[in-house]
This record gives sequence, C-alpha cells and structure tokens, in this order.
Amino acid sequence: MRRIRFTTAASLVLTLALALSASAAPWKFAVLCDSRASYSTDGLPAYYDATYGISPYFQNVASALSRETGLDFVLYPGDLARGKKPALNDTQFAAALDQWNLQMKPVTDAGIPVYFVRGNHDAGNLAATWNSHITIPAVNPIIQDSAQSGLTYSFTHKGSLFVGLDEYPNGAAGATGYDGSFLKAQLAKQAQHKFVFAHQPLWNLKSGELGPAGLADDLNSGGTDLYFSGHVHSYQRITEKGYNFQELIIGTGGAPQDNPTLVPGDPNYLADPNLKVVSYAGGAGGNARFGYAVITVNDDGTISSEMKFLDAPASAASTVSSYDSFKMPAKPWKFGVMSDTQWPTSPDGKNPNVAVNVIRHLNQKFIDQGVKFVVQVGDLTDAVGTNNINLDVRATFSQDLYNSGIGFYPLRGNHESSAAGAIRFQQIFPQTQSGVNNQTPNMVSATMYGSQTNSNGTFSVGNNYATETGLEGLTYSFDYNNSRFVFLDQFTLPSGTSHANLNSTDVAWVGTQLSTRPANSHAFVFGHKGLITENHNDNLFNSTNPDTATGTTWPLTNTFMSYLQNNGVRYYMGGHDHMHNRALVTSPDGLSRVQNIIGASDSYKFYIPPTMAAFNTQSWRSRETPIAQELFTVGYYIYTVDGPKVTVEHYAMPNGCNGDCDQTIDVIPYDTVPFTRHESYGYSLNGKEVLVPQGGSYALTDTTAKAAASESGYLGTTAAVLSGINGSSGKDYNNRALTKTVNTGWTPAENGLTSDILTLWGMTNSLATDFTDLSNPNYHYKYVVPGEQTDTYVLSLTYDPRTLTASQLQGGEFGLATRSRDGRWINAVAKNGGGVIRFVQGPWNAGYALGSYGIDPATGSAWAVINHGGDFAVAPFALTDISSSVKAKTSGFLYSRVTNKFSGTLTLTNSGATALSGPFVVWFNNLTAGVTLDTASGIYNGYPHADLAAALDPGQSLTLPLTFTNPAKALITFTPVTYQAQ
Amino acid sequence: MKLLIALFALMLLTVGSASAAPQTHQVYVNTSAVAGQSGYLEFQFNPGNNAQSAFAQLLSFETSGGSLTGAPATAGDVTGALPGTVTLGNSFSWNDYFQGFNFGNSIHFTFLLDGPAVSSPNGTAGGGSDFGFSMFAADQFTPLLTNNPSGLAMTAALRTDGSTALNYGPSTSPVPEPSTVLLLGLGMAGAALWRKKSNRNP
Repeated sequence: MRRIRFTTAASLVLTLALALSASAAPWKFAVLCDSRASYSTDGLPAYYDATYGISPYFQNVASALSRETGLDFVLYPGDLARGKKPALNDTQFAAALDQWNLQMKPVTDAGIPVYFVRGNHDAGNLAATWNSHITIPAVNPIIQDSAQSGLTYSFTHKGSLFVGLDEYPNGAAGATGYDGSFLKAQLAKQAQHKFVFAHQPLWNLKSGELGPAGLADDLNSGGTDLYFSGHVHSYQRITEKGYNFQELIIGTGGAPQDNPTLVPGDPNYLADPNLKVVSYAGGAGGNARFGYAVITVNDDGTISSEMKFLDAPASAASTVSSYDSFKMPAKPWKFGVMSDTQWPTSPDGKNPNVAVNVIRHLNQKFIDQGVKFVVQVGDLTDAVGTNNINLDVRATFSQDLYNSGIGFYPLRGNHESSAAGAIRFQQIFPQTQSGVNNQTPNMVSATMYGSQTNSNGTFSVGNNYATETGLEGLTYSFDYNNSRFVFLDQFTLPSGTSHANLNSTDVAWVGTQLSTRPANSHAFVFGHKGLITENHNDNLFNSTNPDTATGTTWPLTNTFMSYLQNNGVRYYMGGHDHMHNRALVTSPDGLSRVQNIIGASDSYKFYIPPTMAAFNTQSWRSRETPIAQELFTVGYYIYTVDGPKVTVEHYAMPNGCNGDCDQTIDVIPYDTVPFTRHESYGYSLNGKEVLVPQGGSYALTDTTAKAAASESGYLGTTAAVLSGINGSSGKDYNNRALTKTVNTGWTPAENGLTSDILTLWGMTNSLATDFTDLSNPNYHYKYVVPGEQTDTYVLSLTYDPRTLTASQLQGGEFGLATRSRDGRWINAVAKNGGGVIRFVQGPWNAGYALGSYGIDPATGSAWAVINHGGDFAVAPFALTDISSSVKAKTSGFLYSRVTNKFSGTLTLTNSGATALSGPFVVWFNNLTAGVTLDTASGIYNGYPHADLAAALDPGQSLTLPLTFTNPAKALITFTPVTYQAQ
Repeated sequence: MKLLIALFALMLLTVGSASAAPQTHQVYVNTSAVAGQSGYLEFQFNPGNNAQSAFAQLLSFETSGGSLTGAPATAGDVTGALPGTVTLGNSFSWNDYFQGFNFGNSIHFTFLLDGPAVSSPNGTAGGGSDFGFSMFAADQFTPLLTNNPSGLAMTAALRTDGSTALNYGPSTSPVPEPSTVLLLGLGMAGAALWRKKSNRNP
C-alpha cells in the first residue's frame, strides 16, 4: 500500500486541471463542397474553366467564407475540381488541386483549417496525388483509417466527433463504398455530437446519385447528429422516416447546378415514400445559389444550422444572406447514479472494504448505456481506512469509467465523514472542482484485481463548476448541457469543524446555485441522506429524526424544499437506506413537495423499513406519499435528459439472500441473473404532474401553451385523457397504498406529424410489495415488477388539419400514433396488450373497447383506447413495405358506357406464414400516364394509394374495388407496393 | 361406395379448379322483359394489370324471338361477327364488340376462354382478364336487365392462376355443360344407391 503525499506536483496537476476546466461556449464550423467546373460540352460558359476545372464562382464563395467570423474550421466533402473527367491526368489534377488551395487561401489565411474528403471527380486520379496536394489539418489529432490513409479519418473537436468518409475505394468508376468497420469503431466513441461528412447523399429525389448502401443504417445506429454531403449541386435538408438524423446536402461551392426539383414522372425521379425534403435551394441558370452552411454547437446541447448564400455570386465582395436557419434540439444524453458501496470484510478479497466487484459490474453497465458521467450518492467505503486507503480503492475502480470517457461525481456519506476523509476526497476526485476527470493520484494495485490501466487522457465533463467555501469539492455544483447538478455534503469539514447536518449556510448556497441556473434548465440535487429516510430516522437536517428540534429543523427543511420546488428540482436523490424507495415528501409547512428517491443498495447491506409498531410512531411519515418501493435488490439508475424531458430507468437484480448478505459471498450472481429494468418514470419542464391515487381517475388535460412559451416549433396541441381509472392495488412493505405520479411532457412536432409530441409517464403500475404468498410460513419478501401495459385508458390529441386530405382522415392509416422501439411512428393501438384493432370515424364513446381508435374531424382530434404509456402524436403511421409477403393481383378492368370508367378489383393475399395487422396502404406506382385511380384514398408524392383498415392472417385475402378514369383508353398498368401502416 | 366418392370428387374438381384446357361456358339470358325493344348487346374482354395473354370467343349465338341489327362496332383486339364466332383478345385495355339487337324472349350463347393465361398460367402476372356482357337501350347508354351500376349483366373473371369466377346478374344464368350434367347425374344416382344400401343395413 502506498501512502499519499499531496505534493507540489499534485498541486500543479490540480492547478492545471482548474485551468483546463471545461468551458462550453458555443462554437461553429462551416460546410460546403462541389466547386468543380462544367464541361466544355455542357454549354455553360459561365461555369467553364479549361485549365483547372474549378468553377469561376468558387473563389467568390471562398472569399465570403473567409469573412465569416468565429469559425473553428471548414468541412469540404469533395469535388474540388473537375478531375479526370474527361481527361485530366495526374499532373494536371495536381495543378488543379494547387489552384484550388490557392483560391481557398483567404480562408486558411484567416486561420480557418479545412478538412476534406474526395468526391467522385477527385477519385478518378491517383489517391497519392490527392494525398500529396491536400493536407488534412493537424489542429485536432487525426485518427487515420489505416486502410484508406489520408482519405478516411476522424477527429474530435471540443467533445464532438467528426468522421470524414471516402466513398470511392473502387475508384470513381466503380460502385461507391466505405470502410464500415472504421466508421462503426469511430461512432462507437463517446462524443457530445457526431458529424459525418462524405460526398454522395444518402437520400435525395434524383435517382442514380446515392452514396453507398448501408451507410445510412450505420450512421443511424452510431448516433450521428448530422450527415453532410454534396454531389447533387444544390442545398437540400432531407429527413428520412425511421432515421434519427438529418442530411444536409451542401453542393453549393460553385459547380453548375441541376434543377433537381423532381416530380413523379421525371425519368430521374426516385420514389421514396419516407423521404422529405425539408428545405431546398438551387437550380439551373439564374436560380443557382452558391454559399456555405454554418453549423453552431450551442452550450445547451442544441445544434443550429444556417445556410448562407452569396447575394452577388459573381462578386468577390458579395454579401451573404441567411437561408433555412434551424435548430436541432439537444440530443438525449444520459447520466448514471449508483448508491452505497461499503463492504466491511471480504474473505475472498473481491470487495476490499469497497464493493469493488459490484462497482466493476456497474461500471460496465454505465459504459454500455453510454452515460456521460456517473454520480455516487455517498458511502463509497465502509471506512476510509488507514491513510484513507479505502477511498483510494474507490477512486481506483473508477478507472473503467475514465477509460471510456465517462466522468465520475461522488459525494461523501457517513462512512467517510471524517476531516481526513474529506481531504482525501478532494485529492482523489479533483473533478468535483475542476471538471477534469481521470486524475487519480494514487492508484491502488494491491487488490486481487491488480493494477488498473489508465488508457485515456484527462477529459472534461460539464462546466460552470462552483463549490461552497469550506467544503471545496465536497458540496459543489456544475452544469452539463441544459442541467445543473448540485451535490451536498453534510459531514465534518476538511478543517475539522463539526458539521453533521445541513445548516443555513449550506441551504443558502444551494438556493443560490439553483436560482442562478440557466433558464429552462433542469436541476438535480444529490445528497447521502434523504429528505425523509426509509430505514433510518436521520435525514439531511437532523441526526435523530426529521421532527426533532422542530424549531430549527423545520424552518431549514421548509427553506431547502422551497428552493428545490421553486427551482424546478423534481427529484432529490440519496442513498443511506440501502433500498429502492420513491415517495413524494411534503415540507413541514405544507408548501413544498419534492420526490425523494432513495437509491438501491450497491453493497452487501440491504435494509428494511421499520416495524409497523415503530413506523406508526413516526410522525414525519404523514408527509410522505409513497410511490414505489423495492427491497433486497442491487440496482442503479439511468437518467436520460432529452431537452425538457427526463426519464429515469431503475435497473436492478435480486441480491439472492433476502436480506443482509453474507459478506463472504458475492452480492451479484451475475452469471445467471442479469440486471433488468424494474421501473421507469419521468417528467418534463413543459408538462404537468397529476397524482392519481388507487381508484382515482386518470382524466387530465394539458396543452402546449407552457411549452410554446419557452420553445419554438409547436403546432399547438391539446392532450386529454378522456377515461381511465387507476386500478392498481400495489402497496409498500408497510402496507401503504402506492400513488401514481402521471406526468406529461411536450416536444415540437417533427417531420410528418400533424400534432406536437406528448410524452406520458407514470401510467404503469407501481413497483410494489408482493403480499400474495403472505400466508406461506416460508414466505420471504417479494416485489412485483410492473409490466409495460397499463390500465386501459382513452387518450386524445388534437391535430393540425391543414396538411390532411379527406381520404387520410377516413382511411385509418392516420391517427394517434406512438413511437416504436426503432423510432417509427406506429398506430398507438398496435402496442396494446390485447384488444382488437378497429378504426372508427367519429368521436370516442364509452362503448369502444381496447384497440379502438378513431378520428373525430368535428373536434379535430385523434383518439385511441390503449393500455401503454410512451410518446404519442397524431401522424400517418409508418409504412413498412410488405410486398414480399403480400401478393397483389388485379382482376381485368371492364369498361362501362354508363360511367365512362374502367372498374375491377385488387386482391391482397398474405402469402407469408405470419399474420399481418393493418391498416394497409397500397401504392399504385408508375400508373399509366393519363390514367387516374378514382378510388384512391389519397395522392402522396404523385402516386395514388388505397388504404384498408383490416388484418390478414396467413393465406387470407382482402379485395378492394378499383375504378379508373382513362380517357385515352390506354392499357392500365402499375406497380403495386403494399405497406403495413403502423 | 368408393366409386360414388370418386365420382363426387371428380365432379367437384371439374367445377372448382384451374384448368389447362379451354374453358367453355354457356349463358342463358332472359330478355322477355324487354322483348320488342331495340337496343344493343356488348361483349368485352379486358386485361388487368400486366395480364398474361388470353382470349375469349363467342360461339353458338342463338336468340328466341330476337334479331341482330346493323353492323357491329368494335374496339381493340376483336375479330369476327355474330352470329358467327367472335374472338376478343386482351392486348388492348378495351377489347369490345358492340352489336345492335332487337330483343326477343331470350338469348343463348357460349363463350370460351383460352390462351396462355388459361393453358399455362405463369403465376407472375399482376392481374387477370375479365369477360363482360351488357345490354343497352337504343340510346346505347341506358343499361337493361341489370342492377349493376356499370351496366354489366354477366361477368367472368379469369384469374392469374387460370381459374375463372363467374358472376351472373338477375337476367342471366348458366346453362350446365353436358359433361357437368353427366357428372351431376352420376352423383345423384350414386347418392340414391348409397341411400338404398344404407336402408338395407340399419
């Protein structure tokens, strides 16, 4: 064992760390590409450059770009010059690249580095020529793809990942491709945001121009925020249903522009029902638009984008005008919380005073979940030990997190309450003051786990670090994206001054930290002891119980809780009690109410609530409204922050011993029993919370008015739970009925939705004690993990009718939708447990059973009888192509002199082995020109479609009538494509 | 008994299954309600979506009290004239034979479906082909003797598997083919035999 000496060197490290403290000011970069000239045969003299193949407009774009202030760098995904097409040899291509660099010099002279990847015009010549004339900046360390060095690479800038992909491993003439293994490895890294740039688009409406197959899926699964490309010469912002990122085509560097406003019928038109061009600019001749996009990464985690077009493209002094400014909401991000890890004796050496074995497993869970940092709410050790060695052990086993770029933010518990413990805590967790992680000064190698390898450098997490004087790094706060985190210490000061409970100074400091947080941000407060504890009697304010010395304890509690409530703290979380427990706690003055979460044990110790006799004497229990409870489990928590929304998932596993475990054995039988999600709950800053006691009604109404006051993009939607009763009967260990906390939250409507998005938490049953086997003499405590399904209730959302057709309103493929696990919007009733799917045109009435859903045009609302929570919106249901398992055959089409129409039928037959639930949508692609399908349910992207609200068992058929208007009596042909609309 | 079951099964197979041989159907049309009126008869045979090649032939056209008038009007792939054989292909969207007619008490005609879609269905066609028969008043527009909104009095849908679905309106009915009559007779005789045998063995 090594003894810590807090040396001058260590002081220097800490000083340096403080200097390196993360500051998350907004920063920005620009993107553009496609500056190649036209061909002599194009007949576009304004774009032609015989010598270098660079558009004459490019130098003016570069000139404007050089005047852009505050850019950290530029991304340029390809087609710098015309290249080998038609016949530029490598020497000439090298000269072209040199000329391009010369024209870009105003940008580089302005101190703005430029990152490149090749376009198809750059890929026709030797890669060596490219590499010797194009320099990838070394401002940020570059990770080269060893298989495509200089062509495919990644770098990290201010916490965000950039991957530049070469799409021409087969040469310009071959099919596009990319190094998927390199891309996946890079995207697997922790990063605040992930941007990928390559030349050819993933999606656009022009056929024959797409990039490599599979790339979109890899980007999606890798958590990409934005994909930048060019190749089609215009500006386009495109979304594709089912994918969580957007594509920006910024082929506006000066190359001759197409007129890609393609419509069905154009031979180059690429039909893609899930594609949406959100914004477009460009066009042939005088409609050409040249410029660049400026992307700003904001300190609240949002990303802003603004296209800037030259007002006078022929002028080097052109001003620029803004176009398609938009802001992407902050990407959801996670942090983890764990609780007490003391372990007094460990004969097998696995848990040397610290539950190292548990910690190692939790670390892996946190890594797998991709959290940004982990909070531990005290009792890191059983005792700090000689020379605080046990605190060193705890710090040592944070290394797995540090190696994955995950921060660790602990606080002290009563097991490390001494002044010496406080001092050592400050030394070994400097990040609590600086934000800089991975600086454990004295790693412990003398455990059975041996030396822990530090495979990462220091890294910063969050910003705006603050700490209470006298409790430096012990009581502290910081911001991460749109959240403020406050950590409380109620133990002996480093100076040795007694400090056993929060005092008025502490409370005032907390109040200041909460009230000064950024507007519309979350606030989370952590301490070791609870507002009210569940096994112990002591709490944050008193070492005996919350109702002792009420003259001082209660006013302090009232003030503290008012600070929490008035500053948006919805969850106060601690440990100390070694059980999972959630309860709403009301302040003694009755004016404030905050949810108190006690973290499940991560040690050998598993407490239970007091006996009923003792419990009934505890006056403070009247201030508790129990929500959920679970005993005898090892657990951890994943908080997901998604803009104004927070969702908490509690993962746990049985300890296997129904009480305090034998300290000689492992708590976690991890080889056979995995952690599973035991409950999930959440709230939104822009929603409301309704308490629903057992037998109470779920009826509620909420609108987006509050949300729209602080966020833009809302359509204006009203949600209502029209019917439903809390039919649960769950109770806690002391037989108290558990109340549900139903929360609403709002997100602005996204592409394709006709309402804003409602999130509904708290509808599932509570995590409760299982009393069903109580008469069994061998009864041991059991808990009941709630299922995904809820009580049956009726939810309605209003919709914006402006984008809807009558056929959509009547077809049944549009209505109340919920988000599927893969992010698609599916029929809300499709996630029900049980019931029969049935579409109703008109308002809901009490006779409609589970599975009924409808549209009520009179009130402009969509409703559904459901039994699950989640995200809801009014939307066309996502279309899944099921043509391969559904035969679509027509009859002949007979002509009628009466109607002057051709009529027949289309029969769909499920030729697969599994039942298909509807509604179904059949698209009549490539219908003979001049022929109109009169019986179409609607027209989308120029193609008629017919909709059926039904289901198809294997072998079963559905027939729908078809009537065509066909003035020329042309042969009627089309390509039927059948979709499942869910 | 075994013979009876075999015959009955054969009968069912013949009536309901796809056939590789040309399909012949006889149609009886009761026109007594409009006897004495002049008007038109229409026969059409049209393809569905990307239908396989097939044709329909009108054979043995007869009438009781009626008469054909004037020259027929045709559209699409049509050859021949009534009362002789008329052949309608399915290569155009509308293959139509339109014939003036003085209605009597009844019409009787046979139509035959044949071609690759019948003899060797490829299974990949996107649609079948439909045969339709209509009757119109002298204005060539008002349908007679049907409640079908399109004016059709009888249709035959040739499916993509080569089978046919027949649909008769109120004035039209099938005339059993001799082979069907024979099978039906055998079946009835068999049933009688079976009943007699059952009665002997209570």
